[in-house]
This record gives sequence, C-alpha cells and structure tokens, in this order.
Amino acid sequence: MAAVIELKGITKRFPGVLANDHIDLTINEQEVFAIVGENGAGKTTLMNIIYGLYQPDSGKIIIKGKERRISGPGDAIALGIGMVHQHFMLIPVFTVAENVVLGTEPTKYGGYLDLERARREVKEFSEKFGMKIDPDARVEHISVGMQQRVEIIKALFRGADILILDEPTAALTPLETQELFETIRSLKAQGKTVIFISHKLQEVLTIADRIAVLRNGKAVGVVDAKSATTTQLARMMVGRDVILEYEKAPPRLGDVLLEAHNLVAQNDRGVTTVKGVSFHLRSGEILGIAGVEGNGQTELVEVLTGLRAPLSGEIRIKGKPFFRPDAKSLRRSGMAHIPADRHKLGLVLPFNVAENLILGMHNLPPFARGNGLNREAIEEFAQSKVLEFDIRPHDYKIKANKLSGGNQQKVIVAREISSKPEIMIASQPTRGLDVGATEFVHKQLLEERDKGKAVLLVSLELDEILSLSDRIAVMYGGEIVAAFDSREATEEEIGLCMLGAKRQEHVYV
Amino acid sequence: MSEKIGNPDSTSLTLAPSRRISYERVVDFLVPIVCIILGFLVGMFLIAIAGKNPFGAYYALIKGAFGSLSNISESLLKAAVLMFTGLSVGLAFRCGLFNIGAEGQFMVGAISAAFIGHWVSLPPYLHIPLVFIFSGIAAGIWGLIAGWLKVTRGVHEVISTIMLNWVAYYLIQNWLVTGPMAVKPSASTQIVTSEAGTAPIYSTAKLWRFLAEPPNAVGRIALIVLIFLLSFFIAYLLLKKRPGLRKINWLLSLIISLVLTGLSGYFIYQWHYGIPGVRLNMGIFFSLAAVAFVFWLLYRTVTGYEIRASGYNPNAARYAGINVKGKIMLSMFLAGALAGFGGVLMVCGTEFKFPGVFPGGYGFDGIAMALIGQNHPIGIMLSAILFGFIRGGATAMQLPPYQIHKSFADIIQGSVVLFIAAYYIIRYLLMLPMRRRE
Repeated sequence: MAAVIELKGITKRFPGVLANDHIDLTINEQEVFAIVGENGAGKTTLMNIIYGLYQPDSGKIIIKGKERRISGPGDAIALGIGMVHQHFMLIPVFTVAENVVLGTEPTKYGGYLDLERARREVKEFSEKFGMKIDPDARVEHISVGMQQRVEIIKALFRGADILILDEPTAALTPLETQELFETIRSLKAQGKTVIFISHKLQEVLTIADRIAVLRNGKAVGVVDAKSATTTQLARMMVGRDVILEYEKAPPRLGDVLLEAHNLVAQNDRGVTTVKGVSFHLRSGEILGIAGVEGNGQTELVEVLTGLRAPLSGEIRIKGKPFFRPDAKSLRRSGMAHIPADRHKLGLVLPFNVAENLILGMHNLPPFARGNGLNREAIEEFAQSKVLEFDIRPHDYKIKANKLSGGNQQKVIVAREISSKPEIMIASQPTRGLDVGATEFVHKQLLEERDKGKAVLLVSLELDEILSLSDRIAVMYGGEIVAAFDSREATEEEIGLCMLGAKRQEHVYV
Repeated sequence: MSEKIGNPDSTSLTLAPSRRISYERVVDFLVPIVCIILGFLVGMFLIAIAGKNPFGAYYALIKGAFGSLSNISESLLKAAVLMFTGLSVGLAFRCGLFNIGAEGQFMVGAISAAFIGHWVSLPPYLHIPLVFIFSGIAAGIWGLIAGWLKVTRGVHEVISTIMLNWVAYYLIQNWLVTGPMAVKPSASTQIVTSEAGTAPIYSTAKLWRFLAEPPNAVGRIALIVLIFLLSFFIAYLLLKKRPGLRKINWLLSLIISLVLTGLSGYFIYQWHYGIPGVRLNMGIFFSLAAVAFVFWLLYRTVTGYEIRASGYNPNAARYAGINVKGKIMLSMFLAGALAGFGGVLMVCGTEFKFPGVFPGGYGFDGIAMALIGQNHPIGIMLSAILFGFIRGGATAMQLPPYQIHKSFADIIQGSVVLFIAAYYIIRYLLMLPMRRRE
C-alpha cells in the first residue's frame, strides 16, 4: 500500500503551548487511520495543519509522494483532502442539496443556479456510498447523524479521497454511530482513505486499521488495531495505568433519601416525554439510569433538580414531599446537581473560577455575610479547591471560558461535592472528557457513594453505568422499562431494553 | 480551537498562559482608550474636510472645557447627569438587559422632581431627600414596567423601553408641562412659549451650588459631620487590609478622621466667599456616590452576584437557585431610578423647573457612556467625565473663529461607539505584539 500522507517532524507552537512536537506519521492509501489522545493532546491541531487551517512552524507534509505547502482549505481540497469538523458547518435553512453544492454550485445558461443538476448529483453520490438521504430535506429538520452525512457528501462532492473526521461520534446515538461505521467501511471499499479522530477507545478499535496515539503534542506510537487493547491504548494516552474497571466495596445502604412517584413531564415543545417515572434512592448507593438519548432522561433530571415543573407526580426528599420543587429549596435540602450541559447550566463562562466555584452556595455563609460577599472566604475556598481538584491552571482568577473542557468539568464537580450534598444527581458527568478526567470524575462519584451519599447517575454511556452503578434502571419512551442489580445485569439484556425490544413486567426501582 | 488556547494539561508550560492572561487584562483596559483616541482622529479628519484647522479647533475645545472655573463647572454638570444615565444603562446591561428607556426614565424623574419641588414645601434637609426618593421611585416604576412585561409576558425590553420613551414624552411634555403643571401666567409676567414649562421649584429643593454660595450654619455642621463619617469610613476600609493593624484599626481610623475633620472644619468656618454664577452643585457628589453604590452592589453583594449571573447565563443562574425574574425586575427598577436621578439633577441643579424646551438626549447618551465605559461603573464614570468636558468644550467651539456646530461632540461620541463596536478587531490588533513574541 502506498502512503498518501506523510508527516515529517511537524511542530506547531501556540502561545504557552507546544501543540505538536515533531510528529512523524505515515497514513496509507485505503485505510482507516485513527488518531487518539486526550483533550489537548494536539489531535485537532494536527488535522487543521493537514487541512491548511494552520501552518506548521517546522516540518514537512508529503501528499501522494510530493512535498506540499498547504496554505488554506482551498489547497487541501485541491489535493483531495476533505474534513468534517466536530461542529458542522451547514446552513440550517438550506436543503441538503443546496448545502452540498455551496461554493461549487453547478450553473446553467452562464450563471443561473442549476439546482436540478445539484439534486441529481447529490442523489447519485449518496447512493454510490450507501448513504440514504433526501436531497430536498432542510438541514434544520434532519437529525444530527443525517447532518453529518451531508458534511461527508459535501467533502466527497468536492473530490476528496482523503477524509478527515474530527470526533465524528461525539454527538451521535449508538445506532447512528453504527450507521456511520457502515459508511466508513463502504468509503474504504471504494478506495478512500479515512482519518478518524476520537478519544473513545472502543470505537477506534472497532473501526480503525491502525491507531496513532498522541500525548502532550507528541506521537507516542502507532499500533495495529487488531492486536491492540483498550487498556494498552489508555496507558499510552495518559502515560500511566488507567483504571477502566473500578473495584467497589458492596454498598452500605442507608435510608431512602430521594423518592419519585409517578412523575409526568413535558419537554419544551409540549410533548409528554416523562410518563410516570417512580424510583427510590438510598444513601450509600449509585442508581444508574441508562437509555438512548431522547427517552426522557433530560426532562426527568430537570424535574428532579427543580428546573422543570412536573405535570403530576411527587418528589420526596427524606420523606418530605416537594409539590412545586424549585432549584433553591432542593439545594437547601441537600441536593447537588452535575448537569449534562456544562456551558448551558453548569457554569457562568464569563465569571472567573472563584465565582463559579460558589455558584449556588453564594448566598450561604461563609461566602455571604448578610447581603455582602465575603471575598476573603471566597478566595480562600477557591484556592483550596483549585489545588484539591487540580483545576489547571492553578489560578482562580482566570475566567471559566479560558479553561479546557476537562477543567471546566472539574470546577463543577468540585463545587457540587463541596456543597456537602446528601443527594448527588450526576447527568452525563463525563461527556466530552478524556480518559484521565473521566477516571477522576468516576472516582469522585464512587467516593461520594462510599461516604454514604445517594447518587443518581444518568448517562448515555452504558459502560459508565455498568462500571459505577449498584442498581440500573433503563429508560425507554419516557418510562422505566427495566431494573437490574448491576451484579446480575448483562450488557446485552440492558441493550435490548434500551432499544425497546424488551421490558420487564413489574418494575420496581 | 480547544487545543490551541492555553492547554493547561501540558506540564512544562503552565506558567506561560497566566502571563498571556495578565497581558489580556491590560489590553481589555486599553481598548476603550484606543477607541477614544481613534474617535478624536476621526473628528480631526472631519474638521479638516470642512476646511477648518483641526488643531486650532481642538485647542478651542480644550480651552472651552477647561478655560475657566465656570467652563469646568458647566462640563462637570453635564458629566454628573451622564454618569447617572450611563449607570442606568450599564447596570441593566449587567443583568443582560438593554435599557433603551433611560431617556423616558430621565423625563419621569425630572417631572417628579419638578412636582415635589413646587407642590411640597419642606425645609431643605427634608425636601431634597424627598425629591430624590419620590423621583427615584417614580422613574424606577417606569423602568419596572418594562421588566415586568418581560418576565410575565416575554416582551423584549428593547421594544417596551423604546415605546415607554414615547409614552413618557407625550405624557409629560405634551400634557403635564403644557397642561396641569404649566406655570400660570400672571398679569405681571409675560410668558413666552419657549420659556414656559412647569412652575419653578422652591429654593429648598434646589441643590446647593457650593462654589457660588458659602454654606449656612446648618450646612456647615452637616458638612463637618459628613466629612467625619466619610473619612472614618474610608480610613477604616483602607486599614482593614493591613493584617498587622487589625486590632487597632478602628482607633487609628478615628484619630485620622478627627484630624481631617478638624482641618477641614477650620476652612469651613472661614468659608465666606463664593464665585457668583458658577452653577456646579452638589449633584456631582450624588453621581459619584451612585458610582460607588453600583460598584459595591455589583461586585460586593450577593444581589450583585445574582444580577451578573442572571445576565451572563440565565440558565445557570436558575440552576443555582437564583430567582432570575426577580433580578430582572430589580435591575430594571434600579436602572429606572438611576436615570430618574439624572432628571432630578437637571431640574434641581440647573433648570429649577421642567423646562418648556426639554434638553433631551441625556438618556440616549447614557447608552454611549455605558458602551464606552464597558458597563463598568468606574469606566462609566470616566467616560461621563470625558464626554462632559467634550460637550462643554464643543459649546465653545461654536464661537468664532472656528464656528463648528456643537453637534461635533456627538460626532466624536458616535465614532468612539463605532470603534467600540469593532471591539474584537481593535483587541486583535492590540494582541498582535504578544502573538509575535510567542
């Protein structure tokens, strides 16, 4: 097999960071080449260099045997390189066909847009690579998985034979991920080269032929996917042994702290998405709620944390009913919440780290003295949490929007744990985090459990649920359809319940 | 992108991002200053195009602004009012609200001051506070209407405050000032339409022009007490930060403040002369106090923290148990009251009535002050002082030999706002040296 891309000694420096440090890689024709690494390891920088968005400070790029200078995406496209970014670059009000031809619109009569030809060509393309898509659908109306297909077709339409996919599965449901993998296989069969960036190890092992691991801007090794294991990759990524399975002591169960009775709730569009959910949660245990995205978990968590009013049903904390739960009174009764969307809910990004660390506790002593803020106490607290939770850089005066995703999540976790809760509701607490940060959050949750707190873990990652939970409930279509003791549960059975193929008759959670 | 900026996980280089960030802080501070300089350059260019000598014109501007005590006084009078309307817009903005309604709130404050000033008779030490309280509440309610419409009906505050401006305008200027509150013509005075307006306020409601009139006996005592309290408070705050003095800081502050009070008391006792016609009044101190109050409220209190959190990210604020709707209403009330105080300053400080020809625009200029001052109370104070002087100076530029229309001040202000709107471009340019060095 011939090499299509050879990178020799690529180095790229950003203010304060050596993003790529003498990286040498060879990517062969017609292979799926994965690049893994923690957040901040330099994966995206490297891809942006290949795509011409950044210029390397030193090093050579050899494309199909010739040394090239790629000074912009235009050069990259001309060389047959296409890139699908993590955040799609589509125009929502345009149709699929209009988005695909954008920038290379076919014309007729010298200047008129030939939409008919565009539709036809888009259709041909999608059939050729086995990607079903309606060229006339508006992009704003199609699913994320479909939008990704549009991006892929767009790249192929411009003549790409090397396709870079930057974290393509980050926003996909498991089913959509499977479909994406089918597409990647068919692309490979038709002679395309795919570069797949990810930090999800299991996925990479499934789809890739070879895997390169980056750490702190250096390429630490390239391994054959057939012979690699997740443990080995994790060690290469983090530079030390990573615990992927936790040793847990059996739960020391205490009183029931949180009860939900027949909760019913609607989403913002008025569709009832939580249809009578009941469960109870004891001190000293982790109850995992598994489910495919969009089965009511988001609304359930919002109801439980007082962000959404339920239509009916009741929440009890330590036996005390809350008919109109609101965030303030729930927090006062000892509830903490690690939200799924850290930018929307968890942080005030223009606030500095110290201000974010007291959010929700800002009106309680010692941070508040009457209506005055006690700045000494706030700064002292921030300093100790920044060190305790290793929030980097170790400067609490830095704005939250300057932190990496992992460190932002650490701020939230530090804050919610420091509020000394009795009930911790963690919703997708490791979304978008790399192996090291994920391990950190998991350990914190297990520590809370061992301290006798009640933890409700809602996650889309079945692995996460299986490795942390004591009991597992499965949500499908707004209901809890099955419940398991985690020691008895199997991945297959839970998977079937998640997809709605199976349900238990009497569910008691 | 996330891999580019300040990757904190790379161990060897964790110190470098902090240096960059401190540079960024300096740049954030520099941006408005650069914008102001650019605004002056644009003004210079326009004067040159008009065929006049820009250097001479700017000399006239500076002379007009600082040339005499009376000129400085006129500039500071404008600055005092601009500070209030600027704070009004800036405070609302910190809660994520764009208060276009400062103009209307200003009018409501002014008419309320004219009402209490003329229809109530009290000694000055009660009359002036009553004017401020009543006008603050009235103008605050005017602002609150927009806040209430937003939280209950989802009406965007830009729309409602613009409309409330017109409601205030017609209600006050076309009805109250020409109707129920109009000054009654008497046989001895001929009222010219342009000089009409409401009946003049009692002298007890007039703000003391401290450069023109020496204080009376009550005023002297009040001043001495005030100086004592203020100096004690400031000394205490400053000494509190020194850990070695913690135990005796109240005693030290007492000594310092007594010395200061004694010294100033002597001068106050000797104070017998005034410079007639200098209109600067104690309103400027109310403006400065408002700057301190807004700063304290926003950055030193739980309420301010909640206001800022609600403004930056209402979802996160709700998540943290903050009553976002309450904060919106509170902010709009305070914004209205602040703009209303600007109206009080105009009526009780310079006009002594609600004039028939209303000197409008202070409310809208407040938007510019807030933008140029980056919505920070100190920034708003500085920009209000600057533009107070530019306006004061522009009046002098109208005279021969330059004869440049006084709207020239608006041109400078407008171009500074335009440059502020190009914030990111200017910030990018200022960050270039840092990029190079890296």
